[in-house]
Amino acid sequence: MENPSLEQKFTADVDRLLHGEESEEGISVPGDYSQMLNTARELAALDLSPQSRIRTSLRRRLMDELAARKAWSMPKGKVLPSWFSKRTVQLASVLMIIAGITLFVELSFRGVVHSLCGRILEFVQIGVPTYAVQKVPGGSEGSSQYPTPGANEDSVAYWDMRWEYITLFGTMGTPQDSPIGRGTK
Amino acid sequence: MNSTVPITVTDLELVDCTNNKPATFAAVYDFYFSRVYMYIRYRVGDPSVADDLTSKAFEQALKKLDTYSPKRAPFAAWMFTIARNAVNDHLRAMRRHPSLPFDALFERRNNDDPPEEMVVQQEEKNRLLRAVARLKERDRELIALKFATGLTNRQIAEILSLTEKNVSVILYRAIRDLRVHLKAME
Repeated sequence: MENPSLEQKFTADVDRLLHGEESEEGISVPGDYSQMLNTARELAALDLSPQSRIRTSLRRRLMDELAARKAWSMPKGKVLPSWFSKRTVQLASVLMIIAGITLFVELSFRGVVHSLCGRILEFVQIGVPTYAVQKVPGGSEGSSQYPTPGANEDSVAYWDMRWEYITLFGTMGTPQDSPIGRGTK
Repeated sequence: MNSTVPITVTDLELVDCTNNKPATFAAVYDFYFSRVYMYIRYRVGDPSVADDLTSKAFEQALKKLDTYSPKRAPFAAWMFTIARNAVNDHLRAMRRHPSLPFDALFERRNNDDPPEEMVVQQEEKNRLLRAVARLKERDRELIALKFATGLTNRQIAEILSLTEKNVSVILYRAIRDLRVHLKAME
């Protein structure tokens, strides 16, 4: 193995070269030491950066990007707390937990939500009962998109009953004894 | 060369970059561009690839600027770690999909050739780079870090996960091997 002090001296000489100084005399060095230092000197003087073709364009692009970032950043004085940017994983976890709780609550009270939506839908449907004022002759197919009551049923009476049912039981399901139930069986 | 240029941007000033001050980032760019480009050029050889990777390195640096903390590492070490990762990713991809051999990249000529005297100078530089290209990857990286970046031996040792003494030994041997390659090319 080489003498460690020689290698350390070489590193120190290279450091001096890089700072534009000359090497110091010290321990005895092998014959090719000065040639090695010459090679190091050549490397230290080597600058190929003028060959780069992107120096100006990249600078412009990065400055534009920074300017755009500044334009979109928060107004002065209003800065996001540092933990906001540094603890993104924790923040994402908290958001996922909140989303999970929301989903759980939604699923647990699904019946209530469903019923509420049903009431609204029913109310909207009742609001425009185009056929409700017409008597369906023969009780078969009417021109309406709504369910057709049974043959001898009065449409207005049917909707009155249905509204009562919804008000009492809070669902839009068809009661066993509803005109529809009887009519379709 | 580059390392003789006085450092005008301190790590504390760089904190301003996190507040998106374009003037500070411009100073950072002007100071580091040559060093980053040279570091990458030493390692990949091809000027156009060096351009691409330099661009990638600075884009990454700008993207991650908010995460830089002067308490953890000097800015130079942080910047060259980004450049090093960009080069390592590229070399890994090249190993998976090899194209031109590293040495052959220096033989390629540009369409707009420079005048005669510049060609001679260029040839000298290329000869040196060709010899560097023949070194082992680890030696090439050390030479790139030592001669292009202006980092101290301690910083280089930290980046490469070596001791300072190891850095001295590897540098000595790398230059000695480089001499051998240069002689062989004469």
